[in-house]
Amino acid sequence: MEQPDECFDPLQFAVDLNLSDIKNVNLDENVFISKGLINQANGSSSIESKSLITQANGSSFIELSATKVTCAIYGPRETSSTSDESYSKCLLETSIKFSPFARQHRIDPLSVQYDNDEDCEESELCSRLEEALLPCILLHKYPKSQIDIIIDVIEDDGQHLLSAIILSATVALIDACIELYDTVVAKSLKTNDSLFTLCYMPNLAQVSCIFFDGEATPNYLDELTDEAVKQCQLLHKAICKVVISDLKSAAALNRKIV
Amino acid sequence: MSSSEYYCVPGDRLCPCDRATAGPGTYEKQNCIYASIAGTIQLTTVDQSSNNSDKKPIISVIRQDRSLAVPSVGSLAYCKITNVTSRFVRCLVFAINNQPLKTPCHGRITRENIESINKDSVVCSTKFRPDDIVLARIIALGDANAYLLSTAEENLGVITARSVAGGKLIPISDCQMKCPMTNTVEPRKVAKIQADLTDEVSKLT
Repeated sequence: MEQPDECFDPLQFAVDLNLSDIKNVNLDENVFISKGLINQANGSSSIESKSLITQANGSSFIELSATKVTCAIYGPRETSSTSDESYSKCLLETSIKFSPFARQHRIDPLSVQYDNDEDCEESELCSRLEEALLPCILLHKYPKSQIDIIIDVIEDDGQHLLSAIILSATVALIDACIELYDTVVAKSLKTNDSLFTLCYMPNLAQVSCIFFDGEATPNYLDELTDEAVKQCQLLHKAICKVVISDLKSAAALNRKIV
Repeated sequence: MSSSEYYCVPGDRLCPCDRATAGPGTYEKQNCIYASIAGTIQLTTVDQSSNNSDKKPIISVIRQDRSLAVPSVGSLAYCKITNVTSRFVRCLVFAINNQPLKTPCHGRITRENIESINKDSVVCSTKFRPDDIVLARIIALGDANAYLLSTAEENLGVITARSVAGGKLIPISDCQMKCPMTNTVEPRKVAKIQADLTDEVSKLT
């Protein structure tokens, strides 16, 4: 059985690209993406593949410069919501929490208010994350269910937070085997006192959303967009490489066990 | 079936629509088939002898180490009965198509969907008891609380159950099960045991 002529080798998207290459291109920036950890316990007798967060369906850890984020996906599971929308489509539930030591100034865990404060930073980030991810998930495949995305911000350097959150959610969604139209990659660019974040779907060549805080001329925004798209494509290659190498090591482990 | 060592991530373009049919793990968009999960690409040829002009191979993306069970209409559900009322039976679905669910979901078998004949004279409590393990088919997404299930097929119904005395019931007909400890006969909607299962049992004895 031969494959169709026009079939692409997906590996062509990920050839000759080390994470260290990105480091050189990305203007002295460290990128570290991890999807699963492989534990080798008791010598060679028991080998098992473990995710970062074992209870979750999918998990990931992302490090962009000094920003460190972990993400866990639970579900799709039965939803408790009874709205009409949840009947035909899947709901997305997001939760973002900062560690007490995430910022330069320590947050006192006792003083954090956990009531529904609409204008706090966490809910703002949650709504942005949902905006970025909703166009890329095949929501109609999971009727009457909901997907929980739980994100822990371990460290925040003030620039890459939003892009790291979106990247970690995407990698975790892939890990959880949830059907996606495309992998969403995000890139934040910081200049003086403005922060620009672009979420991009490289294979469909579509932008899922743009966030901009600050002042800029239309021309300057165009420049920023072009630059962010370029960097997004690099990040996409890095994600592909991580995901595929993870799949390969899982397959190798399966073969060993059999 | 040909399995390949080609890996893909969501969004990778696999081939144009006219060369293959989109299978699981893929979606169609703008006359092309794209991958929707990460995994290996697999091509399955359609049996040439089986009628119609649709001879295109099915392209699908398979993930060996992890697959996601999603309740959908038409799939087989393994469930445990939680509550029996006069009009319906409530149950907890814990596996779909031989794949365990991470979190169980609620199901409901109405009185009309228990048997395929004499639907109106069915008494729920003579068909199922709480804690029975039942094989059923999902026939509708149902309301907000539960999926609608049906056992109106001869191979669907109670697979295993315990008697009042606590013994493991043995099926003796399609509507009766016997307790090996007390020899009492209890009524149930018994699933016809599939051939492969009896083979397995005969191997054991």
